[in-house]
Amino acid sequence: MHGRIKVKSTEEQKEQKAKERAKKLQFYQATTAAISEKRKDHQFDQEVLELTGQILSVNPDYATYWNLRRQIFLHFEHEKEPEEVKSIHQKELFFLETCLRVNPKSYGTWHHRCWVMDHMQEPDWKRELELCNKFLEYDERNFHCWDYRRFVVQRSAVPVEEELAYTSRLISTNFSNYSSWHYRSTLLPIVHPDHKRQGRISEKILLKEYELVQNAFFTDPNDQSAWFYYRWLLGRADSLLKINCLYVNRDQRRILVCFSRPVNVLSKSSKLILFVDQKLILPEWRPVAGQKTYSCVWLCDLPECTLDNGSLHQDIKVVWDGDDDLQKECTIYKGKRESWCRDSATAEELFRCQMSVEKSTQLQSELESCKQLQELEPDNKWCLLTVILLMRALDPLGYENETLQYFKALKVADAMRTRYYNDLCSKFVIENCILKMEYAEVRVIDMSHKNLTRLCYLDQMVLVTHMNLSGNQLTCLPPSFLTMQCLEVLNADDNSIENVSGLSNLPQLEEVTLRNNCIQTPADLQPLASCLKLSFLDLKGNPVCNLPNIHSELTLLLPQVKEIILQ
Amino acid sequence: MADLLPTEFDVVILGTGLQESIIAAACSRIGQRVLHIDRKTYYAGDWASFTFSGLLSWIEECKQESSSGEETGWQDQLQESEEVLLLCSRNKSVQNIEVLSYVSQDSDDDLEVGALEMKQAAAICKEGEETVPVVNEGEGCDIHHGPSDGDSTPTGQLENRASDTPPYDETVPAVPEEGNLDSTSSSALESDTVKETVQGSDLPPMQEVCIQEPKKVKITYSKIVKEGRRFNIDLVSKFLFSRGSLVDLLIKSNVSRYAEFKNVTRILTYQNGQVEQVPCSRADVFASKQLSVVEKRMLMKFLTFCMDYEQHPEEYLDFKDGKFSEFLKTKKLTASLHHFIQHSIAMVSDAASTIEGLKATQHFLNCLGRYGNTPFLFPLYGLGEIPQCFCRMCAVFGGTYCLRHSVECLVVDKESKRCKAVIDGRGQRISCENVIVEEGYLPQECCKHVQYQQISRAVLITDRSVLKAETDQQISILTVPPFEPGQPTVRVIELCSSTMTCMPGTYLVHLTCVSRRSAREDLAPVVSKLFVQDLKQENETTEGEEEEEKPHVLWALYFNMRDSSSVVKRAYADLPVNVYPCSGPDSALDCDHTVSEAKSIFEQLFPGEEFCPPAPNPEDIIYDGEGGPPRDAGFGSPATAEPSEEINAEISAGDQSTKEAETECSTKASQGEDDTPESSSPKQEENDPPDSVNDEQPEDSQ
Repeated sequence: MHGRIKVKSTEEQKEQKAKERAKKLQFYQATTAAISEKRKDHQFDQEVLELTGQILSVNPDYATYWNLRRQIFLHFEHEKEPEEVKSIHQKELFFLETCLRVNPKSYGTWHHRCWVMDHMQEPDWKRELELCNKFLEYDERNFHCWDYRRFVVQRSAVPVEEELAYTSRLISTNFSNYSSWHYRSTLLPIVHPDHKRQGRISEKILLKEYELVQNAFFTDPNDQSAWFYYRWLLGRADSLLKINCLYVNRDQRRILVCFSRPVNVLSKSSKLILFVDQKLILPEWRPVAGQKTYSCVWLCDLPECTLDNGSLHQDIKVVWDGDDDLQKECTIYKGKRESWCRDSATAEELFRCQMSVEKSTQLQSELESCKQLQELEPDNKWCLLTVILLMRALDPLGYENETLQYFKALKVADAMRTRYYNDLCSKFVIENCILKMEYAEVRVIDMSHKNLTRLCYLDQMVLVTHMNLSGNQLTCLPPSFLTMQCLEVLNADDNSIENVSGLSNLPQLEEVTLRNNCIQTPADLQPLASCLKLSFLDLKGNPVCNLPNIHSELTLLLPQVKEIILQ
Repeated sequence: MADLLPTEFDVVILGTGLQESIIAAACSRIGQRVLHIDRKTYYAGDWASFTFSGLLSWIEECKQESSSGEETGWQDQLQESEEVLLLCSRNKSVQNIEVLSYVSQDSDDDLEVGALEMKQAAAICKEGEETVPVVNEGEGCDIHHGPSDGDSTPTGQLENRASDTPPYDETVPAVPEEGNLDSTSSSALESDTVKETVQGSDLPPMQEVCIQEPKKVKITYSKIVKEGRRFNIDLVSKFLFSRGSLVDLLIKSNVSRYAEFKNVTRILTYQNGQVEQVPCSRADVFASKQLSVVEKRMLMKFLTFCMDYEQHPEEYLDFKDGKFSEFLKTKKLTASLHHFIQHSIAMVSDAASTIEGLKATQHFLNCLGRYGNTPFLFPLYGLGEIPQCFCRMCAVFGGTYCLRHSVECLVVDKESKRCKAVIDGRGQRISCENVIVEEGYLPQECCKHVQYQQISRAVLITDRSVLKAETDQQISILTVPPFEPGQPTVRVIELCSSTMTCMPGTYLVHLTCVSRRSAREDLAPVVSKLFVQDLKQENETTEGEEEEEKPHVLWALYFNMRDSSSVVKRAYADLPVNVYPCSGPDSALDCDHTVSEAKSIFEQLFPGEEFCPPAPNPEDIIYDGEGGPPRDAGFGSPATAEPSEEINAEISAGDQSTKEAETECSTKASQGEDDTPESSSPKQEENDPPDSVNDEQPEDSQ
């Protein structure tokens, strides 16, 4: 007597479902067939619009149909009154919105929306921005929508400040949203630029951002988005293109130019011009590292007698692209073998920014609170890593030992990334070694017993003559070693080096010791054949030494080497 | 007596409080014939919500001596083997009512006031004797009422008329109603207010009128009365935990489609004389300005631990038998974090054990993020909506409703000690299998051994929030721990006008605690700490001051309500076996106790039956029999058909409303971090077909 619930058996349900499916399939096939028929005949009319709409509303990823619709719209633009076209565009926007509700991550739909907006008379950008807000509320990490938002912002010139405020709002509701943090990092340098450093933000704002992000990672130290943003804040400015070093060698009649970034000197659009005593010379430039087109270090051989005209001094100048900022000069005096002009890594703030007292005090307190957080969360890798980064930003040499301790803890906390941390640690150690060498004003670099697993910044060592790499964990001397054009003596004892491919074409190299490494065959030493001045090679303690006839084989391979030590 | 009830039901339910209403819905859902009766003119009994005038009527009603009704002649209807159990004719669950008004009493235009209020207003005037004109209240200026959504045309008209009233009004000093409170406290208060009045009268009223350029519209008593329909004042002040048993039940049973909710926006705490916001969600902690970063970490760490404390026994096992507050002390928390966690998050007293505290914290955290940044929901239009929603569900499935209908007695079979029937106030005998009865209907002799607890309640209408924020539309809960040992912990709930419980420009504040003494004695210390209770608001001279000040109480009501939640059935003497007493509201913040009792009664009645299964969508209901929905639920009685007709109308329009409810539910759910099961189930079917189309696509595209 009371209302009862209809209960359908599962069989009944199944059957009904199958029926519905079949019906849908039939509809789908009939519609697609009808569309292709009309498309063949180039019938771009309202009906096709409706048919494709029916398909796209269930499957918005059918890109062909979006294209077809665009064709129809273009066709309409010629055929119909502007008013009518306008209303068709309006309808299309509405339709697109319903499609986006079905699938908010469809490339085709978002792209089509961009197209429609660009083809509309009097597009309503405000509405589009609200649409973005809606969809980002629904899924704050929908990158399709973020992309569309950037498109809308760009087209309608939304003030950057407003967008910045928008990111603040999103971050305050949920800071585990790297999309917002990232968007913020692109906006801040525009709203609050640091005029001295490209791509950075003014110090006052920077301090505020530190505070904001610190709140995030203290609240949830396992959330990586905040830590990544923090790293961006700690980052250095984009390096400007510069000529860091100009080196002249009289004996070799060779000139070496080091850029701060890889460039292609050989490309048609740019030019590296060389003057010797104001006389234009057109040498043949080549990169040090073989056939690569982009390189930081370029060299050329001067025509004979260019450097031997008997005058007391000669001025050498290189200019890149005719830009005054991109030039370097040096003078070579009579009787001197070589001369150079070089910017120091310290002065260039390559490894560390010069900070105001205010900022360094702030960073100091950041470091303190991170250490505090580290005590609360001893196993948090992000925190450990940030402590290291902060110490490097503050005083890389002063904190060297402490940094190494933190690296140790980091490798325990996050054993899976041990190798990454080793490499990162190597990088920092090498930075420190370069700084120390510069402070000492010598051309000798000692990187022995530093647990190095890889080499880097070799382009900063162009002028180094003596290098000690002994007692590390290196497995190879990579091709980037080629930039060490002044290297005379290399000690790489007690590593695990198997590969010395970088030890080629080093014109000054005289002495190499590779004791206790992993050189297997004479062929591994082939690169050394191109180092013409090499006269001493110590291979004691390498597997290669145990091969029969090894001595004679090596003499044959490296005829220029006067002394080869195997035992 | 044209509208006689049918004479036979399966279940007769007396009282429309939450517990009875849930049982009514549950019984009706499984096809039981339910007669649901309330002797009051309104639904929900002690759970009711009132408009302002409704509340004044209720106050009057509570104070009236019981009027013994005329004999109904039930004796004639008894058989020899039967005896009767006379029911109590009126509810005595509320006492110690006191009303205090702090606003000017311009009695000229009490338009919304019913006869009762007029009487009361007159009484107040008489008591006040020398009514002192204190200040004008800026009648002439623009009246801002926030967004008036056009639904308030009648009140709008009234306002216009109000502006025609004379430029200054007479103010009546606050006078306590003469309820049955003990004389000392009331007289003390009286002298207080008299003093205020004298202060007030020192000011030359006419000058004030000229000087003052009122910026903000002053709320006067007449304004409150006029806008009285905008108030929905709950007798019981509770929130719903978003993963509490009531929300689960509302969703499971689809009763949720009849109600709308707002997420509570703030958790507040009272510490060192200051009201502060408690950061409890991740976003709150992140944004909090009052916590240091290290505190943030400590708080988050502790809360994360509480989320799954069972997994970390090493953290708390040593303190298992100790107190939660002692346990917190071992956790390296700062004093303010300790306070936050114990009082505002766990919301437990100093006496609570570690496990209780951890459980409460865990529950709080589990509820976070489901619908928003706090774990609580509040029903729009007040808590009194919820029992009505269950009644509606009951009616949809054929339950019969009768308000303002008393039941005289239960007819009990002498031998079996079963209740066979009830006899109503009109002398009609209605037979039934089972009787569910609100505890307050039971005769005194049944309850003579019963020990009740008491709840102390206060309802305040104030002029601003206890904590200023960016937006004035905040729903807040504030736990005030005892100032001195022996005092109760007081729960303060502040509702803004967008909850549809108070007029724009005012806040409705509910204070609740377990009674130690009268409501006034229990709650007044907290009220005086948080609010200003005098007429000074009328005399404000400096504007800057206003910003800093505490909210002013405009009107206040204190009362004690009986808490029968801890009474077990066997404590009632001589109850027939098939009569099930239902307890009234308890002092807890949630409704879990009520829900679990309702469920347990239902399970005793119908073991094995499902408790409130999901109501089907209207289109899935088929009506067997003569075809067509049973609009009158099978009975010819027009009086009883009324509610169910209303609900049938709902059903035919139900298609749309259900969808709305669904989308609302799913959008709400999507805000939460995790998926809720109920949001996914209705969607599944919809998603299926397009997918299957996709499967077939490769064959025929390109």
